[in-house]
Amino acid sequence: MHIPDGLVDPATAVVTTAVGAGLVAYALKKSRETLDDRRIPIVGLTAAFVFAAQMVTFPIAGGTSAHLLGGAMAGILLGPWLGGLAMTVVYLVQAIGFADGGITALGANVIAVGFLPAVGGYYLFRVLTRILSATRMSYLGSVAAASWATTVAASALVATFISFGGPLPLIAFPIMIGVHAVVGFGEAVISTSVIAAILGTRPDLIFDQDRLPEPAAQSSEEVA
Amino acid sequence: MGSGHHGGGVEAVAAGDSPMHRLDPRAKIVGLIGLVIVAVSLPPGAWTAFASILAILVGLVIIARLRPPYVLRRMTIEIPFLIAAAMLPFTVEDGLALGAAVGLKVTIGVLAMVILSSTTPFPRLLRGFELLKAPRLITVIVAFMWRYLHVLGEEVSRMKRAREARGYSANWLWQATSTGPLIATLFIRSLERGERVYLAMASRGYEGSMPTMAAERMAIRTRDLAFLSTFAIALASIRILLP
Repeated sequence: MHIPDGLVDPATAVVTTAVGAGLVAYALKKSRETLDDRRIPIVGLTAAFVFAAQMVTFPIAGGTSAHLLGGAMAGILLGPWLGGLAMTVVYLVQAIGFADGGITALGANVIAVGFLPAVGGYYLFRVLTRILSATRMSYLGSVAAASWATTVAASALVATFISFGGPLPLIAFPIMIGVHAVVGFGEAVISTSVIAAILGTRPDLIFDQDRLPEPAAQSSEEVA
Repeated sequence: MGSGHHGGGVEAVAAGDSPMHRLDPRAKIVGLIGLVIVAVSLPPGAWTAFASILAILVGLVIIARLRPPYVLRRMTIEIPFLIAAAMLPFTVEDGLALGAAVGLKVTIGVLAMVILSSTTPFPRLLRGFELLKAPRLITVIVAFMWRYLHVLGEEVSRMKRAREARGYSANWLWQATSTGPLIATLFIRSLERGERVYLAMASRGYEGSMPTMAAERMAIRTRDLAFLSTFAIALASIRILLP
């Protein structure tokens, strides 16, 4: 789902690069205010993990390719803006080091498959955990729902960029969304297992300490 | 996963030697990204300009002494997009020219980044971005991510071996259910190893960027300026004269 060079029009590339740079600048500012240096390794690990998960790709006929995203997981684990930065780093290294995703499409990729799932996924998760009861089940259900929904939303935005803001015909739209409605389940399973494992062993690492389900909150006190 | 997975020996190729390898990473980053931007800005029909840019890239492959099978293998990443471009003639008006232009732009973008990453070892590439004043928080995350990719790779092979020793075989579908927990365990184990690595680094004086060895200190030399100015003149003439 990385847009390569040439799959967005020059005008779209200019606008998305500017917006993407703005998002990164804002995320840097927010992260510098709150970031404890000791958290940098977990940001790097999350980025590495997302990077590795994204290497499993499935080509889509008539569109581009599908793979796991990891954006919602990054947002829930690291917080929306640091999560977005971790995703930005993944796309930067993939574009420069692996020719995966275009340099001129980096802005579009950072917006659609970086900040949209990290920030959107985080806030969707916040809303869901507020509505639902504070149990482990509904906590993990919120992670799964946020992962699935942001995967589909991200694919819709990528489809928008390459069809309305690029040369591909509109047929790319239903294909991208249809495929990612399925890929989203894999995304939900993996994100939920990772968050569940962290909840079980190191709940102190999760960004939102006020939303932890009851049993996990107790065990973190015991550890502390 | 593991280092061998990332493009098949890219690290060994990047560690090679050629005039292209010896250029300052900043010159290569600025030159090749500039080339991609010029290529993307070309309209369908600017075939001479596309051909000239491709010729420049092929020339760089030769100067860098990159082996064609290696380059082609790394370029297979663009195949899904070439298929998408090949379908344009059947789906949109003037699709033949549009499809050809999209295919050329994708190819130029991929080839340029393959050349950059195959002639510049990753730490030097990162150093180049640091010297180009990339935000420090970004370069620090990149450095840790790179380190962790190797930790993850080692951890995966260790866990696979342990799992097989307990009678696991990937041939049975019902055993696939253990993949979710495997991934989760991988995350926790890598994190705890990484935290120890970080503490070890911090206690040895790490303060957010790697200390630079005298041998890898970089300076822009005449050859870098020559490369960049040739590149700038060539790209400007292609963009202005040829479309």
